[in-house]
Amino acid sequence: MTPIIELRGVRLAFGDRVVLNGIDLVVNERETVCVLGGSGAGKSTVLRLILGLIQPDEGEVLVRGRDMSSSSYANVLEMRRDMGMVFQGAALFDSLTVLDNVGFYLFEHTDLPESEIAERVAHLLEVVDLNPTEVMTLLPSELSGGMKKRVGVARALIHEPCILLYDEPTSGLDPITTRTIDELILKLQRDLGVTSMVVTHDLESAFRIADRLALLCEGDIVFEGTESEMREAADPYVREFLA
Amino acid sequence: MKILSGLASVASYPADRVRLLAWHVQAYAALSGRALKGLVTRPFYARDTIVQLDSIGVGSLGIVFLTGLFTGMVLALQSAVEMERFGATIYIGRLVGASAVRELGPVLTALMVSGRAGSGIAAELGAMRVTEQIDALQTMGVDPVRKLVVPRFVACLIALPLLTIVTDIIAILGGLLISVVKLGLTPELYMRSVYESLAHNGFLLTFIPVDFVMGMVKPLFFGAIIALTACYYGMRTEGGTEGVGRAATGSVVASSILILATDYFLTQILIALLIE
Repeated sequence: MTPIIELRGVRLAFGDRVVLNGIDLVVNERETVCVLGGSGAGKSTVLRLILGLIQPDEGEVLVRGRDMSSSSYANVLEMRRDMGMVFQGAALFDSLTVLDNVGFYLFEHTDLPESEIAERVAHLLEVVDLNPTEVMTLLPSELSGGMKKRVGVARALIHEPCILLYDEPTSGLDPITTRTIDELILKLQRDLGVTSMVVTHDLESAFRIADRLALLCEGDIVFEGTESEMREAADPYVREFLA
Repeated sequence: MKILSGLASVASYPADRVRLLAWHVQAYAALSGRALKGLVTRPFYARDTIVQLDSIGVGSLGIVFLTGLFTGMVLALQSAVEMERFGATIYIGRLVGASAVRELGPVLTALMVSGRAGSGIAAELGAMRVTEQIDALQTMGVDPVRKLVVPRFVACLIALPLLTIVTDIIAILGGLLISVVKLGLTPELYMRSVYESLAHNGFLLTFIPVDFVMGMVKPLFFGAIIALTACYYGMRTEGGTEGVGRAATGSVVASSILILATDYFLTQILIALLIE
């Protein structure tokens, strides 16, 4: 198994508050790892570190063997092209239509004609179970929460990244939409073979999609393993979290 | 012990404030440096710049027009009170022209644009920050300074001098309106007086009044201050919607103070360079 994302002894503090206390975590190729934890446990911080949006105080964050924390800004921008990120609130650009949002990467970084970008966007919208003709010209404010998440996923996929990062993909969604988003994550992993890291506090959802799970508590990873291993774990925090 | 630690924290308070201020100055300077670099290096977002020019420049025309009109009118009214005592109302054009072109035009335009467009920029970027749209830009390999800051910076650099010209002209016309309608001066007399005030400090390249040059250098600096301060506050927003409000207010307060302080020092420098 080839490691795609590696966190080695990563420590991060905001002032006096230690967010991550020297954690180690590996995500292998084509694997889906869910990072669990309570609110404020530092789950989203892990994603921000992987994207190079923040730097650790200590330790290394390796993406396909290259250290995000010690690379130049230009290299970080280049390395981010291997990654797609689905944000908690979708983070769609308010002033752009669905077409411009999903096609944003291609409009920015390629000379492809608009018609071809529109074709690719339409295809991706179909992949995430949205009707292109209905949503392409809509603004984010005209979409429902679930649709926004799907458009966010389509936008993250447009440049065919090999790594997908999800920040609370099902938060704020009803159980039915949560299940369809979970199925979408599984479908992408199965059909496109992407490596995924999903940050969530939704246990049910995590059990459905994850190959492995990691549980964060007060800056430390207190558990790492499969669903069955987690259910059998003796650690009191894990037991409390499962209860 | 508690009292001692309390006293120690009170004693360290000013030092912490100074350290924080120094940190902000450094971060502001870094943002300014990156924005300046963005002016001369690729990629350049021409479409975004035009959109911003429309929003900041064309969008501010209305308030700038009203500012100029009422400033010119009130200048003429106020000076008439004093001038009438000496029978010197024919010189009202001088006062209005000099005040509008040298000082009030550039400063009031900048303050109005700061209040209207600067707060808008800070709120827009602040909202983008708290809804992770700026993070989204970065994850897609786009530098937010180039995409968001530089177009607003360029738009302000272009729009402020042009808006100042509009304010100057409208202020002079506002003065003309009062001089003719209320004080009974002829338009020719008033305009000659305005011309004399502009010609008083001489001409650059034989046809550009030095006063006008002074009035046009300032908006360039004011434009930079408005854009950079608004972008700085917007990009550093935290704390949800409340933070967005704080960013907009903070941006207007900071840029207004910076505009007034810069105006004083620029005037000193320009007088030394162009007049003395």
